[in-house]
Amino acid sequence: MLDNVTGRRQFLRGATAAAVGLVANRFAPAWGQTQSPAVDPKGFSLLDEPPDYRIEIAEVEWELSPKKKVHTSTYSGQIPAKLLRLSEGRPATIEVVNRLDHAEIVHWHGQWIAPDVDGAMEEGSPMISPGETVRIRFTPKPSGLHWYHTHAMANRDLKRGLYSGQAGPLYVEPRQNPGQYDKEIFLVLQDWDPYYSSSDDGSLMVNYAAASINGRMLGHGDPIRVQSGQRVVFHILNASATEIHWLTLPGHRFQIQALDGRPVPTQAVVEVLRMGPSERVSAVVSMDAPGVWVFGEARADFRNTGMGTVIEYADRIGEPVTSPAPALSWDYRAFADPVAVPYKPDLTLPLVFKSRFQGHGALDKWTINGKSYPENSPIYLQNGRRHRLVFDNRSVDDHPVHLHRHSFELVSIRGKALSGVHKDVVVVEAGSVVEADLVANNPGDTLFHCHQQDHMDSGFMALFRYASPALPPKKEDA
Amino acid sequence: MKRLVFFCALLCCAGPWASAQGNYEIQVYGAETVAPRSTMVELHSNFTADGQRAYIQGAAPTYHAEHETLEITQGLNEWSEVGFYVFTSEQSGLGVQWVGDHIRPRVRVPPQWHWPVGVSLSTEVGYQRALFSPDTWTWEIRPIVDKTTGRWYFAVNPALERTWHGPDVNLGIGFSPAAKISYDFTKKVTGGFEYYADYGSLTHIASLHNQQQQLFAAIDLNVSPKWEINFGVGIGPTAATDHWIVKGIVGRHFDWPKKQ
Repeated sequence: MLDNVTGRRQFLRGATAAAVGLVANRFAPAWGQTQSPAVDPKGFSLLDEPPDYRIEIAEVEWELSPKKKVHTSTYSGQIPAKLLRLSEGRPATIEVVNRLDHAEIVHWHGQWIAPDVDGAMEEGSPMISPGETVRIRFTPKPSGLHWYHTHAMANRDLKRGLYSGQAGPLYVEPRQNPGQYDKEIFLVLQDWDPYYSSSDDGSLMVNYAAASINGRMLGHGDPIRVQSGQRVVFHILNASATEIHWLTLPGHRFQIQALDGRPVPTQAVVEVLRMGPSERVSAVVSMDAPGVWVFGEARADFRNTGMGTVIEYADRIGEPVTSPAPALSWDYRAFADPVAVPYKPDLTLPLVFKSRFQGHGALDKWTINGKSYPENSPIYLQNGRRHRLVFDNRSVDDHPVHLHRHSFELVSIRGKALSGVHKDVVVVEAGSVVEADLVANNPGDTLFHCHQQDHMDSGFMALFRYASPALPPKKEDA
Repeated sequence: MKRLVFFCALLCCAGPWASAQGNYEIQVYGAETVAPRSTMVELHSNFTADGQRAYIQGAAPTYHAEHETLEITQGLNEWSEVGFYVFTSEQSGLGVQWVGDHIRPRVRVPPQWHWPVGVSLSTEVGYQRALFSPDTWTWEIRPIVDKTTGRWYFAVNPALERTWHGPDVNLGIGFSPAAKISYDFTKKVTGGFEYYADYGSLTHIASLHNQQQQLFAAIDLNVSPKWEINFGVGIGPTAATDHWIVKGIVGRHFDWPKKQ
């Protein structure tokens, strides 16, 4: 449900001004620190019912380090935006104010909600006009680590879309939390100051001059303080507009609990995390290597742009230590069921990803099954049926493809079967085929796209539409 | 692409700025520099099919001369590089000869500055034997501006030259612009035109007859990020210009990745 409260803005101006400070203070994040559940806002009166959270989209100058500042748009003046903690199944209301001079939209990434509040205009969610205030109400589901971010197109404007600071984590508390840990830390990876350069394959690509974890470049901001023997759960979000990141914490290993907020059947232990844009990882680390460590990009070139933070054990001082990068390998199958379940799909939907060269001074045009959005036709889903999505990447780029309002279960990667790994983003490596099963159970238009901002701006999107009983899916559309 | 280098000797019948051509490196520079921890090795092969046939002030003719130039460019950081040249010539009666060497540092405006065009500045200093260039020590400064938009590429190099030792030492600053326009026909094939000129001294522009004016039809083959391949055929319509030149550049990138 989405309410437009612009008409009441005048009436509320005074009350809002006073309330903003209160709301902001009540939900101020404690980055790198143990998080508490959100305070119940009952008793706080704004309109008929107070929002659970209020977000103001506005431009700020943000200091990534004393020598590096970025001027960008943010949610409520923070990078990353404040952590929103919601409870699974309990309706939540978010008030969004757009202080920018152009329309914006906020997407609730990973949530199984209705298309009118999902936050993608392609599905029918309304844009938020400049100066407008809206209230967005939805029932959070599923639980786990998700995020909220702008879903506006950037096109060639490297200040817009996910190149901006409009991104923050959204944590949906499960009804029951079986996690056993001593400390909970949220980390948000972001890349900054983008610019175009030539890629190896001759087309334009986006590079970055700076990077941050929780809004600070490596070496700046407070370290994350831990104690020996603690079990710390890291909830990590890659909010980069385009970059895959590889993370390591020297001397430590990660026990993966959840991917994209969904618990995995096998909590495998790994030395390195690969995170495509928009992917989330929740992992437990046993703090059993006292010292001062750099938790950050495994690749020195990326780490040197600022992608890292410092883990500091109690009573330990000294220069943060990095170590040679371990082998950069990642396999979703490591977290799958021990024996893959052989699902039988009702329908198979091949999705072939290709690029079309547009010149060495242009971004490639991206196609799904030969056509770019919006020229392509909707892909029809049958309600209640199991669809096998065949992601066939015939390009030289890896693609973190994302499906709105649903999650899918990975069933094969490069021909090797798996099951039990449910995601809403999967990195389909260049030249590979990944198959995922989607059980269509949330009717309404559903956007599918590559989560690289430059790719989705260049046509790498398609709309999934639930077919009415009288309208069978067309093969040519699929 | 880089440039037409070395205007060697004065033509007998021409004015003081109507110089013979070197044709050792015929390339319009782009603004991009070689990446750090990376080396570019290029071989420039230029054959003068129809050019200067007589010795001029002791400088050998260019007619049917095959000039081979080895260029090694090392990226220093994200915004600078240094290049080193070894010039050679092979022609009837002289055999294979070492011609000279140049060094060329270059800096550019980093792309992080978000300028609407690519901009860099190179300077080149070096020596050539008098047998091939009466002006033996020369210096050049070359602003470079380029722009890639869609399938089109534009570059201009309004170079300024100065002779430090040789007959032209008192002639001041010379103006030798170069430019390129090209179009990406496919991802791998780019075609266009390259223009090279020498207008003589900035303070005494030579007559058209005595200017060097040359236009190349050229293609670039983008077969691999590791390789640079360029071919062209150029025509020189003025008396002071070699009339026909066939040029080729083959370059190979070598990366020296830093240990993580």
